[in-house]
Amino acid sequence: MISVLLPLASSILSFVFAAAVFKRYSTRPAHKHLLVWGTGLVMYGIGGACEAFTGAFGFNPVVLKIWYLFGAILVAAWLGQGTVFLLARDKWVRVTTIILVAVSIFATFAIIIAGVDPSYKVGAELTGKAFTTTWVRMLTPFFNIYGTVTLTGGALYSAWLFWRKRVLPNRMIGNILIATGAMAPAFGGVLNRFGLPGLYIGEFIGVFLMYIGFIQTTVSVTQSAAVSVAE
Amino acid sequence: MSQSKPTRPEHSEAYWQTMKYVIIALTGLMIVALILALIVVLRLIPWS
Repeated sequence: MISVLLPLASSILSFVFAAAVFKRYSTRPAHKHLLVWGTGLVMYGIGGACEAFTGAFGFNPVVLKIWYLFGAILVAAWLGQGTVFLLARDKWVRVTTIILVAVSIFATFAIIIAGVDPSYKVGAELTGKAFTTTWVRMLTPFFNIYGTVTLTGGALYSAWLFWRKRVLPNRMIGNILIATGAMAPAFGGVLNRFGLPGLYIGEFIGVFLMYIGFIQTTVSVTQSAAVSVAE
Repeated sequence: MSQSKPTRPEHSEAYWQTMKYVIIALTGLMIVALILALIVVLRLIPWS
Protein backbone atom coordinates (compact mmCIF):
# COMPACT_ATOMS: atom_id res chain seq x y z
CA MET A 1 0.00 0.00 0.00
CA ILE A 2 2.82 2.39 0.93
CA SER A 3 4.47 1.63 -2.43
CA VAL A 4 1.38 3.14 -4.09
CA LEU A 5 0.40 6.00 -1.77
CA LEU A 6 3.86 7.44 -1.20
CA PRO A 7 4.81 7.84 -4.89
CA LEU A 8 1.24 8.90 -5.70
CA ALA A 9 1.52 11.68 -3.11
CA SER A 10 4.93 12.67 -4.55
CA SER A 11 3.47 12.71 -8.06
CA ILE A 12 0.43 14.84 -7.16
CA LEU A 13 2.59 17.25 -5.17
CA SER A 14 5.06 17.50 -8.08
CA PHE A 15 2.31 18.37 -10.57
CA VAL A 16 0.80 20.95 -8.16
CA PHE A 17 4.29 22.39 -7.65
CA ALA A 18 4.88 22.42 -11.43
CA ALA A 19 1.56 24.25 -11.96
CA ALA A 20 2.60 26.89 -9.40
CA VAL A 21 5.96 27.35 -11.14
CA PHE A 22 4.36 27.57 -14.62
CA LYS A 23 1.81 30.06 -13.27
CA ARG A 24 4.63 32.22 -11.96
CA TYR A 25 6.42 31.89 -15.32
CA SER A 26 3.27 33.04 -17.15
CA THR A 27 3.50 36.37 -15.32
CA ARG A 28 7.30 36.59 -15.73
CA PRO A 29 8.11 35.22 -19.22
CA ALA A 30 11.68 36.58 -19.04
CA HIS A 31 12.41 34.20 -16.13
CA LYS A 32 13.27 31.17 -18.25
CA HIS A 33 14.54 29.26 -15.21
CA LEU A 34 10.92 28.88 -14.08
CA LEU A 35 10.04 27.16 -17.36
CA VAL A 36 12.95 24.73 -16.97
CA TRP A 37 12.16 24.06 -13.29
CA GLY A 38 8.51 23.44 -14.21
CA THR A 39 9.59 20.97 -16.90
CA GLY A 40 11.80 19.19 -14.37
CA LEU A 41 8.92 18.99 -11.92
CA VAL A 42 6.65 17.45 -14.56
CA MET A 43 9.37 14.78 -15.01
CA TYR A 44 9.38 14.31 -11.21
CA GLY A 45 5.60 13.82 -11.31
CA ILE A 46 5.82 11.33 -14.18
CA GLY A 47 8.40 9.33 -12.23
CA GLY A 48 6.17 9.19 -9.16
CA ALA A 49 3.13 8.23 -11.26
CA CYS A 50 5.06 5.31 -12.79
CA GLU A 51 6.08 4.11 -9.32
CA ALA A 52 2.48 4.32 -8.10
CA PHE A 53 1.27 2.49 -11.23
CA THR A 54 3.76 -0.32 -10.65
CA GLY A 55 2.79 -0.54 -6.98
CA ALA A 56 -0.88 -0.79 -7.89
CA PHE A 57 -0.86 -2.93 -11.05
CA GLY A 58 2.48 -4.71 -11.03
CA PHE A 59 5.55 -4.63 -13.25
CA ASN A 60 5.25 -3.32 -16.78
CA PRO A 61 8.32 -2.93 -19.05
CA VAL A 62 6.99 0.23 -20.78
CA VAL A 63 6.23 1.90 -17.44
CA LEU A 64 9.71 0.92 -16.26
CA LYS A 65 11.25 2.65 -19.29
CA ILE A 66 9.17 5.82 -18.79
CA TRP A 67 10.08 5.81 -15.09
CA TYR A 68 13.75 5.25 -15.72
CA LEU A 69 13.98 7.95 -18.38
CA PHE A 70 12.08 10.70 -16.57
CA GLY A 71 12.27 9.65 -12.91
CA ALA A 72 15.81 8.31 -12.74
CA ILE A 73 17.85 9.84 -15.57
CA LEU A 74 16.48 13.25 -16.60
CA VAL A 75 14.71 14.79 -13.60
CA ALA A 76 17.63 15.91 -11.42
CA ALA A 77 19.65 17.23 -14.35
CA TRP A 78 16.75 19.30 -15.74
CA LEU A 79 15.84 20.70 -12.32
CA GLY A 80 19.50 21.62 -11.94
CA GLN A 81 19.48 23.19 -15.40
CA GLY A 82 16.77 25.56 -14.15
CA THR A 83 19.22 26.74 -11.51
CA VAL A 84 21.89 27.15 -14.22
CA PHE A 85 19.44 29.41 -16.09
CA LEU A 86 18.97 31.41 -12.89
CA LEU A 87 22.59 31.78 -11.80
CA ALA A 88 24.99 31.21 -14.68
CA ARG A 89 26.13 33.54 -17.43
CA ASP A 90 24.38 33.33 -20.82
CA LYS A 91 27.35 31.64 -22.49
CA TRP A 92 27.35 28.80 -19.92
CA VAL A 93 23.58 28.51 -20.09
CA ARG A 94 23.78 28.03 -23.87
CA VAL A 95 26.66 25.54 -23.74
CA THR A 96 25.21 23.41 -20.92
CA THR A 97 21.71 23.45 -22.42
CA ILE A 98 22.96 22.26 -25.81
CA ILE A 99 24.95 19.45 -24.13
CA LEU A 100 22.04 18.49 -21.84
CA VAL A 101 19.54 18.41 -24.72
CA ALA A 102 21.94 16.25 -26.78
CA VAL A 103 22.63 13.75 -23.99
CA SER A 104 18.92 13.69 -23.06
CA ILE A 105 18.03 12.74 -26.65
CA PHE A 106 20.74 10.07 -26.57
CA ALA A 107 19.40 8.76 -23.24
CA THR A 108 15.86 8.66 -24.66
CA PHE A 109 16.95 6.51 -27.61
CA ALA A 110 19.09 4.34 -25.33
CA ILE A 111 16.11 3.62 -23.07
CA ILE A 112 13.78 2.99 -26.03
CA ILE A 113 16.08 0.33 -27.52
CA ALA A 114 17.18 -1.14 -24.16
CA GLY A 115 16.06 -4.67 -23.34
CA VAL A 116 13.93 -5.39 -20.27
CA ASP A 117 13.31 -8.71 -18.54
CA PRO A 118 9.46 -8.92 -18.81
CA SER A 119 9.27 -11.51 -16.03
CA TYR A 120 11.21 -9.36 -13.57
CA LYS A 121 9.77 -9.56 -10.05
CA VAL A 122 9.75 -6.05 -8.71
CA GLY A 123 10.40 -5.58 -4.99
CA ALA A 124 9.21 -2.82 -2.69
CA GLU A 125 10.55 -0.15 -5.06
CA LEU A 126 11.14 0.14 -8.81
CA THR A 127 14.73 -0.38 -9.84
CA GLY A 128 16.73 -0.37 -13.04
CA LYS A 129 17.89 -3.94 -12.37
CA ALA A 130 15.15 -5.17 -14.72
CA PHE A 131 17.12 -3.84 -17.71
CA THR A 132 18.90 -6.61 -19.59
CA THR A 133 20.84 -3.93 -21.49
CA THR A 134 22.84 -3.07 -18.41
CA TRP A 135 24.97 -0.23 -19.83
CA VAL A 136 21.96 2.14 -19.87
CA ARG A 137 22.15 2.15 -16.07
CA MET A 138 25.57 3.78 -16.32
CA LEU A 139 23.96 6.93 -17.72
CA THR A 140 22.04 7.74 -14.53
CA PRO A 141 24.88 8.72 -12.16
CA PHE A 142 26.31 11.24 -14.62
CA PHE A 143 22.96 13.03 -14.99
CA ASN A 144 22.41 12.87 -11.23
CA ILE A 145 25.88 14.17 -10.37
CA TYR A 146 25.25 17.14 -12.70
CA GLY A 147 21.79 17.63 -11.15
CA THR A 148 23.09 17.47 -7.58
CA VAL A 149 25.93 19.92 -8.25
CA THR A 150 23.71 22.43 -10.06
CA LEU A 151 20.45 22.18 -8.07
CA THR A 152 21.83 21.59 -4.56
CA GLY A 153 25.03 23.53 -5.16
CA GLY A 154 23.12 26.41 -6.74
CA ALA A 155 20.61 26.59 -3.88
CA LEU A 156 23.41 26.50 -1.27
CA TYR A 157 25.34 29.16 -3.19
CA SER A 158 22.23 31.39 -3.22
CA ALA A 159 21.64 30.75 0.49
CA TRP A 160 25.27 31.66 1.16
CA LEU A 161 24.92 34.94 -0.79
CA PHE A 162 21.85 35.92 1.27
CA TRP A 163 23.68 34.89 4.46
CA ARG A 164 26.79 36.92 3.59
CA LYS A 165 24.76 40.05 2.88
CA ARG A 166 22.46 39.39 5.89
CA VAL A 167 19.43 40.10 3.68
CA LEU A 168 16.15 38.35 2.83
CA PRO A 169 16.35 35.58 5.48
CA ASN A 170 13.22 33.99 4.04
CA ARG A 171 14.99 33.49 0.72
CA MET A 172 18.00 32.07 2.53
CA ILE A 173 15.77 29.59 4.39
CA GLY A 174 13.91 28.81 1.16
CA ASN A 175 17.15 27.95 -0.60
CA ILE A 176 18.30 25.84 2.35
CA LEU A 177 15.02 23.89 2.11
CA ILE A 178 15.43 23.50 -1.67
CA ALA A 179 18.98 22.21 -1.21
CA THR A 180 17.87 19.76 1.49
CA GLY A 181 14.94 18.63 -0.65
CA ALA A 182 17.17 18.15 -3.67
CA MET A 183 19.49 15.87 -1.71
CA ALA A 184 16.73 13.64 -0.29
CA PRO A 185 16.01 11.73 -3.55
CA ALA A 186 19.74 11.68 -4.33
CA PHE A 187 20.41 9.74 -1.11
CA GLY A 188 17.28 7.65 -1.72
CA GLY A 189 18.56 6.82 -5.20
CA VAL A 190 21.91 5.69 -3.81
CA LEU A 191 20.10 3.44 -1.28
CA ASN A 192 18.03 2.04 -4.17
CA ARG A 193 21.23 1.29 -6.09
CA PHE A 194 22.50 -0.71 -3.12
CA GLY A 195 19.19 -2.62 -2.96
CA LEU A 196 17.87 -0.77 0.09
CA PRO A 197 14.47 0.95 0.40
CA GLY A 198 14.48 4.72 0.73
CA LEU A 199 13.89 6.07 -2.78
CA TYR A 200 10.13 6.66 -2.49
CA ILE A 201 10.31 8.37 0.92
CA GLY A 202 13.33 10.36 -0.29
CA GLU A 203 11.36 11.53 -3.32
CA PHE A 204 8.37 12.57 -1.20
CA ILE A 205 10.51 14.43 1.35
CA GLY A 206 12.41 15.96 -1.56
CA VAL A 207 9.46 17.45 -3.44
CA PHE A 208 7.76 18.48 -0.18
CA LEU A 209 10.80 20.44 1.06
CA MET A 210 11.48 21.97 -2.35
CA TYR A 211 7.86 23.16 -2.59
CA ILE A 212 7.99 24.70 0.89
CA GLY A 213 11.32 26.28 -0.07
CA PHE A 214 9.85 27.66 -3.31
CA ILE A 215 6.89 29.14 -1.41
CA GLN A 216 9.29 30.60 1.15
CA THR A 217 11.42 32.30 -1.52
CA THR A 218 8.46 33.66 -3.48
CA VAL A 219 5.93 34.59 -0.77
CA SER A 220 8.54 36.56 1.13
CA VAL A 221 8.88 38.92 -1.85
CA THR A 222 5.16 39.58 -1.82
CA GLN A 223 5.21 40.18 1.92
CA SER A 224 8.18 42.53 1.63
CA ALA A 225 6.42 44.37 -1.15
CA ALA A 226 3.30 44.60 1.02
CA VAL A 227 5.36 46.05 3.85
CA SER A 228 6.97 48.52 1.46
CA VAL A 229 3.54 49.55 0.22
CA ALA A 230 2.34 49.91 3.82
CA GLU A 231 5.34 52.14 4.56
CA MET B 1 1.07 61.59 17.32
CA SER B 2 4.02 59.51 16.25
CA GLN B 3 3.37 56.58 13.99
CA SER B 4 5.57 53.49 14.11
CA LYS B 5 6.33 52.09 10.68
CA PRO B 6 5.97 48.36 10.15
CA THR B 7 9.44 46.88 9.96
CA ARG B 8 10.78 43.55 8.74
CA PRO B 9 11.79 41.15 11.52
CA GLU B 10 15.45 41.43 12.48
CA HIS B 11 17.41 38.32 13.38
CA SER B 12 20.03 37.96 16.06
CA GLU B 13 23.70 37.26 15.37
CA ALA B 14 23.18 33.79 16.90
CA TYR B 15 20.55 33.10 14.21
CA TRP B 16 22.95 34.04 11.41
CA GLN B 17 25.75 31.98 12.95
CA THR B 18 23.45 28.95 13.19
CA MET B 19 22.45 29.41 9.56
CA LYS B 20 26.13 29.52 8.56
CA TYR B 21 26.69 26.10 10.14
CA VAL B 22 23.51 24.75 8.52
CA ILE B 23 24.76 25.84 5.09
CA ILE B 24 28.22 24.35 5.76
CA ALA B 25 26.67 21.07 7.00
CA LEU B 26 24.48 20.81 3.90
CA THR B 27 27.49 21.47 1.66
CA GLY B 28 29.23 18.59 3.45
CA LEU B 29 26.19 16.36 2.86
CA MET B 30 26.19 17.31 -0.82
CA ILE B 31 29.83 16.25 -1.08
CA VAL B 32 28.94 12.92 0.60
CA ALA B 33 26.10 12.45 -1.94
CA LEU B 34 28.51 13.11 -4.81
CA ILE B 35 31.08 10.66 -3.41
CA LEU B 36 28.35 7.99 -3.12
CA ALA B 37 27.29 8.68 -6.71
CA LEU B 38 30.91 8.23 -7.82
CA ILE B 39 31.04 4.91 -5.92
CA VAL B 40 27.91 3.86 -7.85
CA VAL B 41 29.66 4.73 -11.13
CA LEU B 42 32.77 2.77 -10.13
CA ARG B 43 30.65 -0.27 -9.19
CA LEU B 44 28.96 -0.21 -12.59
CA ILE B 45 32.18 -0.23 -14.60
CA PRO B 46 33.08 -3.80 -15.66
CA TRP B 47 36.70 -3.74 -14.47
CA SER B 48 37.61 -7.26 -15.65
